[in-house]
Amino acid sequence: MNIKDFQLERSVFEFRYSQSYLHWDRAGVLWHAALSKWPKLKRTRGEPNITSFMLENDYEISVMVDKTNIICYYPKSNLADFIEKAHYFLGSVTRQLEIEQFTRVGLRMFYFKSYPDEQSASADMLGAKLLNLPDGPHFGLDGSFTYPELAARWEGRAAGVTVRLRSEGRKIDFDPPHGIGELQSVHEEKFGLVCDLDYYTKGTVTTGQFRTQDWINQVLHMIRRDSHKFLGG
Amino acid sequence: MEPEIIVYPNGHDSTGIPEGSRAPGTRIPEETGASATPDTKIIRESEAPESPSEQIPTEELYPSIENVSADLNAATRLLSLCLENADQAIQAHREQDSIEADDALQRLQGILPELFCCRTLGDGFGIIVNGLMCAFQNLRGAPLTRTQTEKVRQILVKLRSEPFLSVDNAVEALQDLEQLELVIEPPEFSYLADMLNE
Repeated sequence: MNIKDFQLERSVFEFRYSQSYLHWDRAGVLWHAALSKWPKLKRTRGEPNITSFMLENDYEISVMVDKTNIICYYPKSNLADFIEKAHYFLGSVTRQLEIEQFTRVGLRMFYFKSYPDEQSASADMLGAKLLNLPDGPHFGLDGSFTYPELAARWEGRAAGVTVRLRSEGRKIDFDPPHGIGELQSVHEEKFGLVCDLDYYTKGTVTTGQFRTQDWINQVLHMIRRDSHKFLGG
Repeated sequence: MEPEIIVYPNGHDSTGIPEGSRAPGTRIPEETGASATPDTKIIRESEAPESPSEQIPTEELYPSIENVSADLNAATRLLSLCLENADQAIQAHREQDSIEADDALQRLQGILPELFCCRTLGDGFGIIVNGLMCAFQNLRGAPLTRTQTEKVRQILVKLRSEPFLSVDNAVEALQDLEQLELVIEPPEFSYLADMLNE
């Protein structure tokens, strides 16, 4: 297995800070400015402690009193557009909420690799020899090993990374409401492996230390360079 | 007092797991629900009060410096060179070797124009490097005192630690130089002021 065989499904950039109640006063200013840049932003939540918007079903951006999340669905592999938006919101939130330091910054990437069935997905995951499993029967059962899932975490002084690998089945059952002929029913089932990589900082980072594009590009490079060690590719 | 248990959702604290992060229809193996006793107050780690933690050194924040943008890479390298020269100057001052101290500071001054080329890092960065360049120019060849050299070093350390510092923080840092009788405005400003006074 190699990370290049996986499709990047979702990337999440999150920065946390000490509780900033200026969110109660300045959320409007923050989102007004964002709306002038991206007029297609649509509000999904507007509460004192959280305001969130969607952008063209690709982005979900949430600003909270203690953290901000930028989630991108099916980003391009170089993350250029994602980085641009993350950079904008980091700057805007930092200015409006008067944040001087981040208590945690994280980048999480969800990759998916399709398989024809659950058995082949699980077999490929077990083939990486990351788990040393005894022969059966297991707890009195002679059944097969289904939907395996494993996670590992490494932490240094300044940063940490969590890798989660799991076999997953996804089922879509959609029937349009009666009388709507334009829409088709969708009944799909797909199987695959999810590789979930979460890289984050430990300790505080001042705003003067941090530039989004440099940090994300560096993390992305490390993920591409080192993930084969975990995936066994 | 109620017992408190800190639990780690999804194994540990994680980056932004959005609600409903699993695709609809995802088969999740059922888990045995081990619940806490009714009197137990459970605090999820993400809800626990953030304990003040140490600031991460910039070089550890960007451990793979070859993969950062060219301006940050160059600035980090040049600032290290500047600090090397500042350290040599301070050491020479300690040994009362004024000539060696001046030599080291001249080498430092020679690096500043190249460092100024990295001002795309931010206005704060540009303001500090420009201020240092002006401070040297306004001395018109006179050497820096030991106190002034130490302050210059202190500012360079701050700049290496926070290359994207804000304008306010940059101005604050330069005010310390002014207190030591270093002039941080461009030398041409004095002529301009004279012209405006006439």
